[in-house]
Amino acid sequence: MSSSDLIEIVIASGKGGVGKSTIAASLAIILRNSGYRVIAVDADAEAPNLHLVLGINRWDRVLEYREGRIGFIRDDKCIHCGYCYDSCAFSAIEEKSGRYVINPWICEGCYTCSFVCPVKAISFKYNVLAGYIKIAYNTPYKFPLVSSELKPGRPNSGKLVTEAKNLGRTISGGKGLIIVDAAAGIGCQVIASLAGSHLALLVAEPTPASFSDLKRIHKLTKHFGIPSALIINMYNINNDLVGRIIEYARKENIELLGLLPYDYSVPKSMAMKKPVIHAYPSSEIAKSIIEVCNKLLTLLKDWENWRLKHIPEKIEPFIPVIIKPKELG
Amino acid sequence: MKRIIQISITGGKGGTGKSFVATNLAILLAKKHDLLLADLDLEAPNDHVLLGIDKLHSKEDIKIFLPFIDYKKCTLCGICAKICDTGAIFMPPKNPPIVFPRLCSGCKACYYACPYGAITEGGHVIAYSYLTIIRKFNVSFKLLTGILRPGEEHIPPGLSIIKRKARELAKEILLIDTGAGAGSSISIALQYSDLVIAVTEPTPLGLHDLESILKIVNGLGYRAWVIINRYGLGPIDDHLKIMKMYGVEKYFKIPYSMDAIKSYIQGIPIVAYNPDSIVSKSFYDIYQVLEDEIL
Amino acid sequence: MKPLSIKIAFTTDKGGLDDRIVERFGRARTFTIVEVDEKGNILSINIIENPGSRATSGAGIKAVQKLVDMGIDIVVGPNPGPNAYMALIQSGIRLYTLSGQSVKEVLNKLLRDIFK
Repeated sequence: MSSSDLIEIVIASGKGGVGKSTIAASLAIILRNSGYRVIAVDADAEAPNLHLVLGINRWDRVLEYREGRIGFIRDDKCIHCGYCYDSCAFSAIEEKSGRYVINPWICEGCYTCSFVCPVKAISFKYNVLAGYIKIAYNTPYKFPLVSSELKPGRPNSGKLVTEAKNLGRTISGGKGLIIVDAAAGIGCQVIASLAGSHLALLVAEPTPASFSDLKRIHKLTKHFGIPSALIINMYNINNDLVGRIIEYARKENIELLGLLPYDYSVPKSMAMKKPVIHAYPSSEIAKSIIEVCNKLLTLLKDWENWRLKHIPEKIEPFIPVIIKPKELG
Repeated sequence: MKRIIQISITGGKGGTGKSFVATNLAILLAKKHDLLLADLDLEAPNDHVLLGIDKLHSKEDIKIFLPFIDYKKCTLCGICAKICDTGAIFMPPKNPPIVFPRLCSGCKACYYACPYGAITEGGHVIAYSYLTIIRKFNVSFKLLTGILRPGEEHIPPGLSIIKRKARELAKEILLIDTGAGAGSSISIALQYSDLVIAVTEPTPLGLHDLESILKIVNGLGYRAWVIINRYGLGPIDDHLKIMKMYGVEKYFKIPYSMDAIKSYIQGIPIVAYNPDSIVSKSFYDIYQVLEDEIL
Repeated sequence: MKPLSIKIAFTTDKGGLDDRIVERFGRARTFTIVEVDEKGNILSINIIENPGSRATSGAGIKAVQKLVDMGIDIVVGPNPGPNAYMALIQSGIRLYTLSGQSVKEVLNKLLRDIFK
């Protein structure tokens, strides 16, 4: 990796609660201490946790993020026909003692109800405050942190994630390592987390739910042509499944970076608002994390070769199940 | 018209123990009540896993609206592509529009916006629901499970349909496991709750997400209780402050215990695996208060 | 009769010949459009905003839609997401998968390849 390179590493998992933020935080610290320029981005806007794991609570900049529309029904015009209630695909319209009300915690502003309303009683609020992007330029770890946060109740947004990542790139000046803590799941916010990344670090725990989500998210990384590496967290809770996950990784050309044990030090260190590698440096988990990071450092030193060996072959995208209307036959 | 009681278990981030709480409370409630447990975590449902259920039954397709273009009527005006919020309709050069099913949220705006009636209603299967009758642990109740088809991106429309199903199928008590998150999907899962129980843990991460969830519950105007799971892992002073700020009526503690982890791996809820465990006793206390105050 | 011209779009940030091709497709901030004649001479250079960069979802499709609406023949950029990829196939726009290099460099190489 040359000094003029920017490499974006995204830490993703499909299922939430498997340890992405803990791992992302530790990676960022160790890579920084190894001499790399690091920028951390928390793209998990629904539950941004990176700043909490790192114990950061002061922000240098807080930017408002606005997007979307929310509908509202004008009582003076409403004739209580209920067509809007029947037409909303999101069940956002509720009936309360004869009045029809659009629930602002659900409405996505798609306009459908305003099309079906016979008296044009529905209007929209535009450019709604949907979240924040927060930046801490100088953290105790000597790398900046860009955090995205969706306001509770707003629909998921790939655009918010992209803006946070773009800011990260701007701050990086085109050099260094961007560590992205991705959103959980497989929806558009995850796709936005993955877009433009060079390396996907997948985290799984040995449970059936997490394994199935690992496969789903790997399908996404394959489509984007992003090479993947794997960390299995809490491996000692189910050895049988660990074996199957390792076998899957081998077949799919995913580099196994390591196994991390379930360790009580993790929640304890979180309560102390310190990353576990600082709070409990001689714990099993800290030692395992350092081993995993060393493997990653080796990989980065030989980046071009590793990348070429692990770029996935392109595959067909997911096939949707479609039902044709009877009239078109 | 029948009136069911809806109790929703939620909590924000993944891994706090929503499914753990939902499955254990389900068993206690099912002893005396007709119960439907609805697992609305469409991206990773696992209530059935915690209950040790291998096979789910009565699979049904969850379909949403999908536009089909009637080429005889289409004039290539392009209004459908412009009105589509999600980019699901694409106009190739000099050709009728193409629909991308996976991006379509089923909102039907295009259907209503087309001036020529050139859009007809087709369907798109985005999820499946399963209805399984559970006869285990000396109780009987129904489990409704929703799961998103891999590759589908939109949760709200499918969730909306499954939630409606849950409310129609429930006869007395509807217990909902909303799954992780604090976005609009959670609002849909929580809609019409008589009581919301937010599960948190005594860590800064748990605190942060507790606040996000309580904001939504307050906004929706529903009653809120809190369960602090893995109690003992850390301080809860800030949690107590937040709970007071958002008008939480009651809170309960479930202590951290290896027992719970063991029961999780076995696929047997702890109230059945070890009824004398300190964790089981906590669940029993919560159940008692539910009986006295809600049911 | 209008002389033959080819429109080439590059995924860019600020835009222009001196910019680098960015590694995002659907959410690239701008497209740099270079129009060349049948001999490979540059007729015009334009920087346009990518509507996909403002989209909350389906950004890739909206980006491709813009390229279609502008009559683009060739686009140079990274692999788009699965949906935009399908739209590109349907649109008939040729994709050259490249990113990170300067627009000027790649443009010259491309013109050499097309007009040799």
